[in-house]
Amino acid sequence: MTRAALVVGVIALGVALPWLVSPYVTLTLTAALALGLFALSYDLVLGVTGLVSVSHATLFGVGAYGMAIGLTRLSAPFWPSVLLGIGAAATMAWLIGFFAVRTSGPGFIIMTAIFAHAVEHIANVWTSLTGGENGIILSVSRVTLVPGLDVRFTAGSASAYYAVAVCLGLAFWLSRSIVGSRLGLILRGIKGNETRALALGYRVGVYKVAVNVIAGAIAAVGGMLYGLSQGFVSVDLLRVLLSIEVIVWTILGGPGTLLGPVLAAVLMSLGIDYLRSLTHQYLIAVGAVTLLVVLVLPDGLGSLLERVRPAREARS
Amino acid sequence: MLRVADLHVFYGPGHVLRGVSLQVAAGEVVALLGRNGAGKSTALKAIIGLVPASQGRVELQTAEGWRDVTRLPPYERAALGIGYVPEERRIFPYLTVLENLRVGLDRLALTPQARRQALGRAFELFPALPDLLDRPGRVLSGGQQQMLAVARVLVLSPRIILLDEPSQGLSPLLVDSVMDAVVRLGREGIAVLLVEQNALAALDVCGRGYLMDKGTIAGGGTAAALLADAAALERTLGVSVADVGPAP
Amino acid sequence: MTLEVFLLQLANGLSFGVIFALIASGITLMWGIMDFINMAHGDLYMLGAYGVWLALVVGVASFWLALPLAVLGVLAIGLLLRSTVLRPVFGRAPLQTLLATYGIGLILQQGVLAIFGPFSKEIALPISGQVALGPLRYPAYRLVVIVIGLALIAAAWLLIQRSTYGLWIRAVAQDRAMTAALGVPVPRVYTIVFGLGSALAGIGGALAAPLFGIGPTMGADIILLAFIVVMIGGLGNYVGSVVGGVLIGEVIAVGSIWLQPTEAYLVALGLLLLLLLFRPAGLLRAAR
Repeated sequence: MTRAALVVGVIALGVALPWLVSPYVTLTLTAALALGLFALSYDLVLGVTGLVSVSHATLFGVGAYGMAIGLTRLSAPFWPSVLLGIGAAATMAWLIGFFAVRTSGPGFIIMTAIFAHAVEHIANVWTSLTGGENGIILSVSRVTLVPGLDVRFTAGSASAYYAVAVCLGLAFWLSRSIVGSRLGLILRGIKGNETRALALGYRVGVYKVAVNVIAGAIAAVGGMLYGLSQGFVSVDLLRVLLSIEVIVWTILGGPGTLLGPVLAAVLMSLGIDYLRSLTHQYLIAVGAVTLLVVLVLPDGLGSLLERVRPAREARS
Repeated sequence: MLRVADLHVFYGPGHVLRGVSLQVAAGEVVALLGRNGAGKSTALKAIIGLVPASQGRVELQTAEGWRDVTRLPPYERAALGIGYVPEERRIFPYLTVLENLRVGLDRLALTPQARRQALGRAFELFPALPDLLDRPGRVLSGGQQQMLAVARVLVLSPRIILLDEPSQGLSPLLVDSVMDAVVRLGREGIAVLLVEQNALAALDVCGRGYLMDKGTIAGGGTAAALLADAAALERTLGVSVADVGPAP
Repeated sequence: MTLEVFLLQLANGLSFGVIFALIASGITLMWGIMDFINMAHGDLYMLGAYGVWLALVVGVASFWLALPLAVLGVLAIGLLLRSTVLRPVFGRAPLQTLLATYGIGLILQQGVLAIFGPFSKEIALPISGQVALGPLRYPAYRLVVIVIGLALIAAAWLLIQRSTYGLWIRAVAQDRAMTAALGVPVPRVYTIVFGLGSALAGIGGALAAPLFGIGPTMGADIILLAFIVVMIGGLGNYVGSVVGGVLIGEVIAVGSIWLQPTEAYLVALGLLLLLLLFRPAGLLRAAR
């Protein structure tokens, strides 16, 4: 079976999915795809540029909350609220990036961790704004893209599923273009040898902040889609835990491959959903998986495949 | 004292050492010569274990006989008696001269008398050091740092000292005194493997030498033989013998 | 606000400060010496608190007996982690230690939650009553915390400056490879640093237990401030983490006269950001 046929088959399956499964499964998949979008954006930061940021869920959640606050507290229409969400996340990304790049080396990681913890803490405490654990209910049931084309955000809606899938596809195309562009070349240069990039005259700090902002905007879209598909946004969307999870997904899927992290995100978030339905203690499993990934598969699943392939080739 | 067989080292994809083999006997002072980039420093680093060898063997002669140290981490090789003085000296900048000396010395858990003896030995070779004991490493001059770098290895009574370009950046007078110290080390029975760009100065104090080129040993022999074969020296060092000498 | 209230908060700030310093110094030592980011550090603090509570529950006679037992427990757990799951992680990229220690922290937190339940525990103050300090009447236990904390910090500093292992710790921080080339058993130095850091965090938790209460998330709650202290003091700078700890402790305590706790946290964060604008390397020059 050729690769092209495989790809076509998967896409066809994806398109037909809402008719093949129950609305509940469609809803779950819609949310998983939104998380895939989130992971895709993070791959630009970690996989392409080599930045270890622990604050990406902060942007995911701030984007979702920006839209939610626009819709509910400010009574703004849909699209301006979306812009508000993207703007809020981009601004947060700029702020975090600006301060994080002013520290050297590992300070970057700790600075993003500080911001992520701070935002999570504020969101937990400022319940009048964020709704705390219960969050803010989004009463958006229908968004009109063009006259005649509606996206319905009700449970198990097929149009929501397609909307998220299309956004994921667009984001994927956008990310590929970025990686292939001159900007992408510079980012990859920063990942490969930052000192050399500096010596060559590139303002490395500016580029780091830029990729954080771009990725933050994409993450915001993911956050908003996630919230819309669930019908509410809560502080769970901006937890440090989610930031760590997306790091694990990116590593497992293969940093820099763009597609790998998306697949890992979709599959693993489905897995966590399933775990959560089984037991309250699923977080221990999450912790164990995080630890195991480092111990067993530090280079992601790709390295596992590489270990298997030579053995197969040797046999044939 | 030291046996190196077929050592290979890679820096990423670059094959930097391509099968280096050499030997140093007890009390011998042996030169390792070659132009920039030939791999001389890397060879020393591989012997002390600061860079990993992908292939080959490093063996050290201890009190219990020959010991294969190829798989041992640097601190175990040093404990067995390999002393290393790096090219950049790498004096601990925020430790005093005495503390620099103590880093290695404290591990030996010597009696106060033995300690005094060990330090005395170093001070005998480098009389300027006792006056500098309280100074932090970062304020020392180049020559003082070089003395300290050798001294802090010397107090450990090593079996062999790996010296990487000790004369670099030093005035001719200091170069002389460093080479002087090298000779006296050899006389004390300590083997020395001396990496030097300054081939003439090195061959002056060494009984034997190896020529390195492009990561491998390209030739060798007694000092006299090497000095006589100007053509080989030119080939491996890239300059004529007449040009190779102390910096003006 | 009267002078008395201000002085009271100033003293409270010192009590917070020494606890922050105990936690932050462990983080900064582990980073500076071993390039090790320990996201589970707050959970070691948490285990110190639970350790004291547990010891008292099983019948240990006094808090002052329970405290060293708890610290030994945390030390044992820390060293166990170091020699088992963390062993392969040492020397790897910061990203991997970040994930590994976060995973461990999560397991510790959830484990404690599962075993002891989500509700916070309380311990009675081991020393009740107040002490007259000039115009002030100050809680005796808090004073003891300050004294013990300062003594421990000074003892650790002396250890680092005078002892052989302290010399090796400083040498490794300045040039790890050269230290190894001089024969120093670097893995043993790492174990000492990890043990020291874990013990300090455990002591911090044990001392804090009667003051702040005990809960599974107390480590996660305090790690934010601990990181701020570390960054203010400069990564790897022991004295910096102590000074930073006291500074942030005072900011929180004095700030709470006028502000809600969360807002005081924000002031601490704001201080850090301001500092980063002008002195990115931290408050003090890298004093080794």
